[in-house]
Order: sequence, then C-alpha cells, then structure tokens
Amino acid sequence: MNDLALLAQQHRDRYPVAARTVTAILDEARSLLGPGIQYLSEHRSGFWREAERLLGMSEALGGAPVEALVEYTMAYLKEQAAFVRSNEYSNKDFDDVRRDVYDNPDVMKRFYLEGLMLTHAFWPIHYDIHEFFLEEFVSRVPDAGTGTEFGFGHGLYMLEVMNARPGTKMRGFDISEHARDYADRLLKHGRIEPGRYSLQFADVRERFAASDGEFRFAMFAEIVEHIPDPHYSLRELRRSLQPGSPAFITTVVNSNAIDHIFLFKDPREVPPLLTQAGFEIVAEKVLKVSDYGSSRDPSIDVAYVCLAN
Amino acid sequence: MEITLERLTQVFRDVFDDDELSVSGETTAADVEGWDSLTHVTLMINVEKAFQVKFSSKEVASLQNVAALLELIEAKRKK
Repeated sequence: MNDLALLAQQHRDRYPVAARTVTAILDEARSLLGPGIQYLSEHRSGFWREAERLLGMSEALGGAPVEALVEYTMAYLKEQAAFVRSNEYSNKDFDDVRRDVYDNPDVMKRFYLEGLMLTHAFWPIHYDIHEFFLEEFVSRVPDAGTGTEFGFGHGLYMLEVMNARPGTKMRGFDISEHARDYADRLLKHGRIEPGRYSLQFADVRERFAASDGEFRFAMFAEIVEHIPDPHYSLRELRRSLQPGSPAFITTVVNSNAIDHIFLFKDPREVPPLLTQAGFEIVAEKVLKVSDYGSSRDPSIDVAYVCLAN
Repeated sequence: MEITLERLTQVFRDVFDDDELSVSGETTAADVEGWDSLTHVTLMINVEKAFQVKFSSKEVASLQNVAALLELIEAKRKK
C-alpha cells in the first residue's frame, strides 16, 4: 500500500467521501491525478476537508466525481500537450468554442462544470487560487450591497461569497445555459435564498447589463483567457464597479484548454492590461506548475491571480 | 511482447528526450524523471501514433506501469 492509499484509509472516518474518492482515483486515474493529490495531502493541511466539502456538493447534485475529474483533466492535458508542440492555443474563435463547449451538453453537463468545480480541491494550482480567493478577496467583500460574477460557470465562487457575507446579493452572468442550471442547483443546495441572486445570460463581448458603479464587489475568475478582447471586457467590469470596490481577477499564461483563446506568453503581460482598464492591483500572485514539484518548463502553465480595486 | 517493449522503449526515449532511457514492465512514473501527468498524456499520444491504436480517457488515466501499457497495446492490436 503506498502512502496516499494509507492516508486515504487514515482519513476514512472523518472524511469518508474524500477517502473513498481518492481510493477510486488511485485505482482509476493514478497517472493523471495521483501526484497532485499526493502533493496536496503533504503540503496543504485543508486538503481532506476541502475535498470532502466539494465532493459532497458534487454528489448531492447527482454527479460522478471521478469520471468528471478524469475527463476534465484529460481534456486539459491533451490541449496542453498540443500547445507544448505548437506554442499556440488550438482554438481562436469564441463562437466555435461557444458551439463546441459552452452550448454543448455532452461537454458541460457530462464533465466540464463538475470537473472544473472539483479541481479546486484536487489540482494544486486551483486549490491555491481558491485559497487566495477566500483569504484575499472574500475577506475584503463588504457584508452589504450587490456584487457580480461574470462567467460564474459552476457557481462555486458565488456560493462562497454569499455564504461568507449573508448581507450581500449577487447578479451573475454567463453565456452557457448549462452553467446557469448547474450554478442554480449548487446555490440552492448551499441554501442561498433565491431572492439573493440572479443568474442571467450575457455575452462577455457585449456591454455589461449593469449601470456605472452598480456593484460593490466583482469576480472575473478564469475568464480573461476565454475572450477575444479582454481589454474591452475588463473596462466594462471596471465601469460596473464602485470605485475602491474589490475585484478578484485571474487568468492563465501558456496554459491551453478546450476553451482558451487569448494567449498570454508571460505573466508580466497581465498587470498592464488590468491597469489600462482602470484597476489598481492590491495583491497578486503568480502560481507556476513548477512550484508543485514538476520538472516541466516553468514558463508553461502559469496562473496569475490578483485582487484589484 | 519483446518486440513491442523494444518499440515502446523508443517512444519513451523520444518523449523524454533521453537515448539512454531503459524501461521494463515494472517501470512506473515514479521511476522516470519528468514523468508527470502532462508527459503521461504526451507519451500516450505518441504510443497511439507509433502502434496505430486508440486509447480511451479511462484507459490512459488508469495505467499503473509499463506492463499494463504493454498489455493494453497488445489487446488493442489483436482487435
């Protein structure tokens, strides 16, 4: 029995769903997810608790966590392997991605939304982005007023904020009807009162359906790399925020996926884009896959996360 | 099986860019420097091309060592 299998057994009583899932992953997907889980279990004290929490949500929504994680991870790795060869993202057109991914139930409902949500417990880099979100952003969100998330996807970040700040309301926007359905079910499962939020259709390429300074906080997580003109969308986000309000913004550098179209080649390209859109960066972090024990080229697979005003 | 291992070793050497790399049935990812999840998928894509076979996501994800990969290649080629 290897260390991780032993750890799963040791956590079986306190975190039964996580222990069972990790055991299944070791049988079914050790090559893809084993090293990351091993890293998290050794270096992140909250891993088992977070895994239990997110898996509990996934199962409550009738998901198939191992399958979703494997399919999502595999889809990402295939795209990233292609990027390493070509140095280009496979997709360049937003409408193509919308057709093949955001409007495609075989992708969104079968593995994308659930798999992506679960990576926040099972991928070291997403675990750390989520931790940054909770520690740096949520702690600065006021417990009153309305906030927004553009491209809420699975809805986990909306759930976290509204749980932590019961005095807030949120207007979420997403282009995918499948995302709106999944996020609604996640928020209902999390017992967020329906009157506190709305989940609306929006195309990020168009003017936001929000008045100037309407929002007291905003999330724009893993969206920049999905859109053809991030500068326009970031300006729109800035316009909709009250001055001085916190914004959580993330993107990736040299990191391909089935729906990435805007390529940053260096993390230093990101801050100027944000400042040109009117944001002031308060805290930022560059997370590299090489930080997690990989021997890969450290310039490949980088996440940029920041808190901005 | 030995012919397959020989060809498979060549695929490994190409992917890991190491002409001296030697693998056996017992070899696992832990034994080869740089064999992470991305390299694993790259390796499988190259194996598919070299042996003209196609693996499912589940098959790629569940492989535990080189012996399992050899068995999978043999099974696919018999079909």
